[in-house]
Amino acid sequence: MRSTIPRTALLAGAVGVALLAGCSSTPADGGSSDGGGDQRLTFVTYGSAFQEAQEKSMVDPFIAETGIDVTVESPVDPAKLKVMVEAGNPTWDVYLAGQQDVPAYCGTLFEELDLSNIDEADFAPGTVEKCGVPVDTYSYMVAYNEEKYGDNPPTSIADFFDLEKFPGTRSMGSDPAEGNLELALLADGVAPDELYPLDYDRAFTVLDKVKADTVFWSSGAEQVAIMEEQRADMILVWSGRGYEAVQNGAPYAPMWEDNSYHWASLAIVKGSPNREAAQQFIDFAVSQGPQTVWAESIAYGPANLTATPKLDAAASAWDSSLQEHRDLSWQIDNAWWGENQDEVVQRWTDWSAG
Amino acid sequence: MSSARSRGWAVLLLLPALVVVLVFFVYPVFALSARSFLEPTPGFSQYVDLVTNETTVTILVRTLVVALLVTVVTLLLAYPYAYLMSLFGPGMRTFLLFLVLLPFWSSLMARTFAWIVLLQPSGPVAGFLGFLGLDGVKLLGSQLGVTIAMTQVLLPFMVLPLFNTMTGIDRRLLSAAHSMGASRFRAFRTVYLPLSVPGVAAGSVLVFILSLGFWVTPRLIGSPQQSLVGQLIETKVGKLLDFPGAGAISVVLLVITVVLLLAVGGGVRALVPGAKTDGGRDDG
Repeated sequence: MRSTIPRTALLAGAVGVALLAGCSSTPADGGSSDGGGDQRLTFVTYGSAFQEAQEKSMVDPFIAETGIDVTVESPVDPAKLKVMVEAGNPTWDVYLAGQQDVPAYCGTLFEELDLSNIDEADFAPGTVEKCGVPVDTYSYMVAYNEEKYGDNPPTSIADFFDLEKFPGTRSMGSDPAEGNLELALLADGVAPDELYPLDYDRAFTVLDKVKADTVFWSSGAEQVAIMEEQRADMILVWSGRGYEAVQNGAPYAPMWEDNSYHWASLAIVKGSPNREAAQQFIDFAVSQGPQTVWAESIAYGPANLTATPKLDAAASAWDSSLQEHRDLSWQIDNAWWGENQDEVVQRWTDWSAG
Repeated sequence: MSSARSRGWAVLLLLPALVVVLVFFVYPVFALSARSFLEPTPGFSQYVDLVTNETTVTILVRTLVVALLVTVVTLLLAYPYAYLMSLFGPGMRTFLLFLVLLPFWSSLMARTFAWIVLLQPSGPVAGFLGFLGLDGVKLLGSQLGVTIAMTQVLLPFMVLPLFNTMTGIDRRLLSAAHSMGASRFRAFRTVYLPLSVPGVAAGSVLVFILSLGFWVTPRLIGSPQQSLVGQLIETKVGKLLDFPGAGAISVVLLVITVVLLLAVGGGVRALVPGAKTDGGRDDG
């Protein structure tokens, strides 16, 4: 079983290291908290129901199969990751990375992976990368209030930005990494394969049209709350959260046209002392069996497309991995994002907070 | 001799707190500040970037304006409240103190989420405003909502120093003023108000400085258009992994705070010559 003792030991170790660093500013040699012999690793992920589903589908079966002790921590925090890697003593081994993080920090915060046990054909094109293998998927997509637009539902992302044809309120994520700029460009007629390099000014011109009527959310829980309270007539949501809100009685329906296919990847923290065990865990977590259990445990799709989850009609309606939904999707260009992330975030901050 | 010895022991008692402050406050602040001057190259490049970036300046100014606004509103609400508290007998005073302290005993997150419920479009505050004929006032995701919530959260920090100062004011001075022919208002304005200045200053500085660092409330109740410096620092650290840039903004905030403390301290001493004898309450 997963035990909590290693976590406590690590914490105590971390505090000790912090004290040492603070008092004498000599880096601690850190040998004390890592015992040899037994293999162990620390996996850091998002927390809450997401984490529980990962524990059930990936972590617990992995421990049972390999005997490697896995400590699960949450939440992920790129800033903390950077500090750990810079200090040269990471206490995290496997990191659940947002898709843009993988190319952005490949080689600096993440190790290159051994992909010999991964069949790229099992995953959506372009999702397996040097430093990350996708482990879950979702879509960033429009959900609309059926009571408001039920008779004449929106049929493309252009309708989201068209307040004349579809008067009402809007909501979207406050993080540009969801794909807000790309969606604005798609709405303006840019073809999915011509999105990059992003034309910021053109995108912001489109976004400006709805800015005053838009609520920005910054967490999954907030998306559900906004739909339950019907604070936005159309909302860009994560598919799983849309499903959750509808299950809770929110009168919303999914619009799959122009959905942005997203994924999160497993990566190995640069300088991890448990690389082998970490690699083993990643190979296991993205394999067919755990991926099937994963998709049945939570309203996120399996990244491994050979997985065969059995879902009911309500869950299927919000399933981003379904072929008919993937046919309507487009994908963010991770490589471009990896190189331009700072600039995008800066431009987005200037637009949204300036 | 013996007083020197006991002072030695007192220093020893201070040691644990001192170590905690050094390790967990002074060292990280120093490290972060140092990075802002050392990266990417030694010098002031981070600060040049900071003042030449329009967004950063806008957010800094907005933060100062919001902090000032919240300070003024809390002062207007807290002054009469603290004044009444100082007039009432022990029973009523305890009750009023209890009301002020109540928010302290619940977590900031719980209170902020309570405000989200209260301020949402179908919520009671909007309903009340609608009843008054003020339909469609946007509370959630607006500066108004953020200001309301911040004011509530920070009110105790204004009431307590005010109350503390007011209980120390000798009310016989007011009677004396009346007996010399001063009207109630005149007596208040020329006698009571100046004597309460140390409390006003202490409370205002406290609320202002706390407002500068507010993060949870604007983040949860405001929209990005209302983001304050705390959120900018979060973006820099959490998304851009720009520690030196975040350090530079933190240093600017720190400098503003220190300058303010010095200015207010000096101002109070200049305004109220007797303030120093008032139990030392002005030395914040």
